[in-house]
Amino acid sequence: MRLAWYNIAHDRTRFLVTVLGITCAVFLMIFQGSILLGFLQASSRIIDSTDADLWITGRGVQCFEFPVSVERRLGAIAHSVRGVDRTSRICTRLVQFRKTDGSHQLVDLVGADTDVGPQFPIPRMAGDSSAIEPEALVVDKSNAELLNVAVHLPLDVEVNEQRAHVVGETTGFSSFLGSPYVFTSYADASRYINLRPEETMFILVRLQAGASIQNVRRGLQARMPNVDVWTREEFSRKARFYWITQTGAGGAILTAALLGFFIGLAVVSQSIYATTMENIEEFATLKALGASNGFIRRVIISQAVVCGIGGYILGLLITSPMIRAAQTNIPWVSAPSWLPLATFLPTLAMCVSASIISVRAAMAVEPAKVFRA
Amino acid sequence: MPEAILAAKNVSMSYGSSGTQVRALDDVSLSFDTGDLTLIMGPSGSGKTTLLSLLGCLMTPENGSVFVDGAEVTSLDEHERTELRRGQIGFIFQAFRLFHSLSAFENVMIAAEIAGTRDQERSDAAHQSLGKLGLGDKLHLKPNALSGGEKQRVAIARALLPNPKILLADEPTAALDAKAGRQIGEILRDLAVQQKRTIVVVSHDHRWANFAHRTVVLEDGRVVDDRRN
Repeated sequence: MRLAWYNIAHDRTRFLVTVLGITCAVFLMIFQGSILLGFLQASSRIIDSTDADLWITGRGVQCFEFPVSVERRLGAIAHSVRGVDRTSRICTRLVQFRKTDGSHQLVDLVGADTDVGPQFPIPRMAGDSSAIEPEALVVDKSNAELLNVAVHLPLDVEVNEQRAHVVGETTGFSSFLGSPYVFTSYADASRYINLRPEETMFILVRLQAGASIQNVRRGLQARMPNVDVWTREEFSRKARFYWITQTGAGGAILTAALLGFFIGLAVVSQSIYATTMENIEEFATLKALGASNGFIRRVIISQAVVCGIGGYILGLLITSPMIRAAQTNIPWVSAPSWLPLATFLPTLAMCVSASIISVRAAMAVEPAKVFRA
Repeated sequence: MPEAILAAKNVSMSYGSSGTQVRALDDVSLSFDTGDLTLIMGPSGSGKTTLLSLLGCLMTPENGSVFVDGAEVTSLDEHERTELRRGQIGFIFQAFRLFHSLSAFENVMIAAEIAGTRDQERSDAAHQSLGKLGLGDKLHLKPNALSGGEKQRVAIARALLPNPKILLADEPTAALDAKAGRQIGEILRDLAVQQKRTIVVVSHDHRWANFAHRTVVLEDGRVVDDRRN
């Protein structure tokens, strides 16, 4: 499609304007996509970091951060169900964290039994990974400054007016809520949040080797009709769905990511349409000379695709440093290497869609128009 | 009638809606022989350009038929008429209609690209054609770097590349000075006489009578004069 290429080369200013429009759209799609992806990952990070096969939650609980209490004895009942190997507990609640300078910060305290999973941050004794350090807290590195624990550890603090000390840092658990996650043992957490001994919040179930997850789940649900039983993947998905659809933050991020696509579509449509209409007599000439509709379609779509590839490459070049800069302030922003690649086809789809109106206009032009000077 | 290379039989054409309808052509019958350069003259609004559009299969008449190389083309669909134009009819326009982003050479080669026959043979033919028309040293210039006469010669080379039997020219010298106009007249005359092409020229310019074998005069959509020069 030499004509498409020459048209682009001839009108470089318009090409640049179109490419810049696509660049903005690509930037918005990748950047907002990174925020969306990071938000989704962060919203189920706690759930995903356990190795439980099933989660038992209070009826109607949508996510980890807003639990309701369930009876602690359900753990023992669950253990008696065929196919269950072992159970463990997690509790969480927003609590006051008193910093070393005396100021307060609301944090999301998470306490878990030691066997919830090897990736789960729990304050263990130095030199003995099976032993839990009492009254000890672990915070995410990204929140260290906010919690005033960025200096040497351990540091004495208070949680809900009870003594505690920060003994370590973890990574990958940056909170998307504004209240940092603080991790401790289940025993200490239940004390800090005044959880009654007969209560817990989540019961995690591991299956015996070879047990059917659906059979065990049905068995648990039959024995415990007043709670919900989810596979870890289901609960993770449910939490993500809740945060993305039921909260303003998730909705705003999702909308922004979609807006990136539609803004790009509008910019590119306008630019390609203007180019086509400027050259509409050339398309009439092509038709008079015997060009088929397919030829005309190929000229316009080729122009759109060339612009799309240019905009995509430029978009990638500016997006990478922008995401790195954003990650210094929003650590949970996630930019996996596949995300830019995954935006390539939507970018091309956007450009091709944007050219459809132009294609229709060019194909509808009367070839007899060429005789009008 | 069908033995002529190009013919219109009882064609009529109107524009506008019923209240403001204008009869552009009224029962016109003409045939054009191989090797003839025919000049169609007439005042503005007499139907010259409409007749050229019908002969060029760019429009279909309300009534009557158009024949190209003996075949009735009025009943062809748009796709078939497009194919017919691509292979058998070349166009030369008053406003040249060159592609502003393409060089002179690429403007000629666009005809091969449209036909999907862009190859070395066509490329050589384009070079040769432009060379014959005195543009051998201007192959890589874009239209805005060419004079009006040069642009029209590029347009002629483009029209000739598919080797059409019929050339239709709409006011081909209206935008040119006298010298360039005379050159174009001589070129088209030679194409008719030496290469046996059928050429129909629409023009207001009486000097075309010096080059045309035949002159047809239209008025109010009707043929009022048709004579051999």
